[in-house]
Amino acid sequence: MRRASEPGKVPMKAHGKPLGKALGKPLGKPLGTQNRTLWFWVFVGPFFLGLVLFTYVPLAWSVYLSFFDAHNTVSPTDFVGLDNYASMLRNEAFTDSLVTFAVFSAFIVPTTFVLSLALALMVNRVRRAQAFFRSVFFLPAACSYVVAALIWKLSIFNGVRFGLANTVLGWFGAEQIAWLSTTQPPWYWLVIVTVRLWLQAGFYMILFLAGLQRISPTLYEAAAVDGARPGWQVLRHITLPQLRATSVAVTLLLVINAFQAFDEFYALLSDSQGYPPYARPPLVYLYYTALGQEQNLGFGSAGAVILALIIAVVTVGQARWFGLGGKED
Amino acid sequence: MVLAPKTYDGRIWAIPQVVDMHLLYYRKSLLDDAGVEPPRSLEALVDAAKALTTEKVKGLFLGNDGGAGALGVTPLYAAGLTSVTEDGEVGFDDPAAARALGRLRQLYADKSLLLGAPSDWPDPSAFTQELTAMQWCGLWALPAVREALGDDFGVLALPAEGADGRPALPVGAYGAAVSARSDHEKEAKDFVKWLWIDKTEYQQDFALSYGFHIPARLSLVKQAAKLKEGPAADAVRYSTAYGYADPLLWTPASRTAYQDALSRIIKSGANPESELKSVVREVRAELDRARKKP
Repeated sequence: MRRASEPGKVPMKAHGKPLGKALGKPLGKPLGTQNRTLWFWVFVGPFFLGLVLFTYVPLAWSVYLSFFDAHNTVSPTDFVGLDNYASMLRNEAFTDSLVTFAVFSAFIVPTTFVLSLALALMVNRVRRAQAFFRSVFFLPAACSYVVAALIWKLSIFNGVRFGLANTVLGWFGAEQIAWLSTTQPPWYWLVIVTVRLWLQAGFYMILFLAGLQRISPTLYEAAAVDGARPGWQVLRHITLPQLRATSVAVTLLLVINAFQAFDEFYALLSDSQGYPPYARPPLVYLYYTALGQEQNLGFGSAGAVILALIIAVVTVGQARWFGLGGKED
Repeated sequence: MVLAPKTYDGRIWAIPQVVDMHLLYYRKSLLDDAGVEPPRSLEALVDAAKALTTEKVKGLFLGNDGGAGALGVTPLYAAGLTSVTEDGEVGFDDPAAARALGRLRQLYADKSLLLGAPSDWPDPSAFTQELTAMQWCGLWALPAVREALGDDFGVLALPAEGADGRPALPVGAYGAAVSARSDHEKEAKDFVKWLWIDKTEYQQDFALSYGFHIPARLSLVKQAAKLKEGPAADAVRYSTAYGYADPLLWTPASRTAYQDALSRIIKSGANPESELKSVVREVRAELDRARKKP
């Protein structure tokens, strides 16, 4: 149906004439002939320069460093070939950090997805004060990761008897728990996952809300006429399929964000003496190797390159798998 | 002793300014109530911490990570070993090391350790607020502890492990150094010498009036009234008798490998012998790397 009229192609012309002619004079006349190349570079140049200087050069430099023994230097002379890569891949701390990332994603991606979708469905159904609820649930997204992590660490989940979580446990006569220092069972995951869940669920709720509000009400009416029971059946067969594009975007963003995890891990678990050997995601590990006291920039860069490759492969694979970039139905 | 880490290849590279150290603080009244003597061995420390632990007060605070960071290699020295020997070899390839670190695991497993305190071990709050009966902290906390508790506290080094061990605590000093690239190298050298070697009254003032440190010159320590009695005098005595300084070759890479292993031993109950074996291997490789450098 759309094909027949091709509405997208029309607006550049008005009544069959090119836009400029329709306005009565050729575009660009008021300032005379312009040097378009010059203006392109005037506008794009500063940003392009910034991009090259602050993104591409460091990126290339990091790749360069990864082939050298670069302790405490960014102009190394000691070429070691692929040694850094080999020892990084054999390094248990690094592979452990990848496992940490996998575990973290396995927790945080589904929980955020389900919680933010549930919030969106609820807020979407609220008839009164929708803006209020939307704002309330979105508000945590405005909080800094570091601030939230410190509140979680020092107030809610501290290990002493007057911490909030331990106070609640105390009501039921349970023993107090040192949440961030206990590895068996790994209670620290509860702290790490809940802080991020609280921080980001509101943001993804907004994305889902936008998706929900784009679903045509006629679909629900048609489903009701066809006898679909409201609730699970409508959710499963109407809402979720219609939300596919949003869901794919949310999942991708969640995974990428999980890869970038640093702030709350660092704020929750590091101290002046370093970082414990658990719950150490890749960025935290590389931070300590390359930028911490060690300043082993070659080794750290090799890790960064490996990590970048993994992120690229995962993202492209995910996009392919979900068919991202294809046209929406 | 504080000169050792400032010395490389027989030359002194910096002038120590003030000395700082870690200490084990204990609350006299709480120990008396529990009928516990200040511990003289690591084993006694484990027992004391257990006896002192009640529903409200934990026996010992070694930092929120269970001691891996705060104690570091101190238990090795308490077992009569070192991190890196004077010849630049691994100093803890010895069964005594595993025994000492096993004691720390015991403390954790007994639930005698305070964990997850709002302020970590460098701050004496957990000790002064009676969350713990003993705490590993530093000399810098002594004025605050005295203000909060009066005379109701004492200080110890980390008690000895085994027959070959001796009490241990880390001692370090800030150093004044001069840039050799400066146009005014000579003036700078003269100034640093004037301030940190000749002007003893300034050093005294700097060490004791604004914080709590031991002046680096031993002659000054003997004159300082604030360091003559009570726990402060004990601290000064321990610093010379039991203090150790991290060797230069104990690099961050080695420290991280060791600390990670210690954390796994303490919190996850990993086997001390096998953990230490792999640390020894890593430290050996790191020492080879560091020595290879010009």
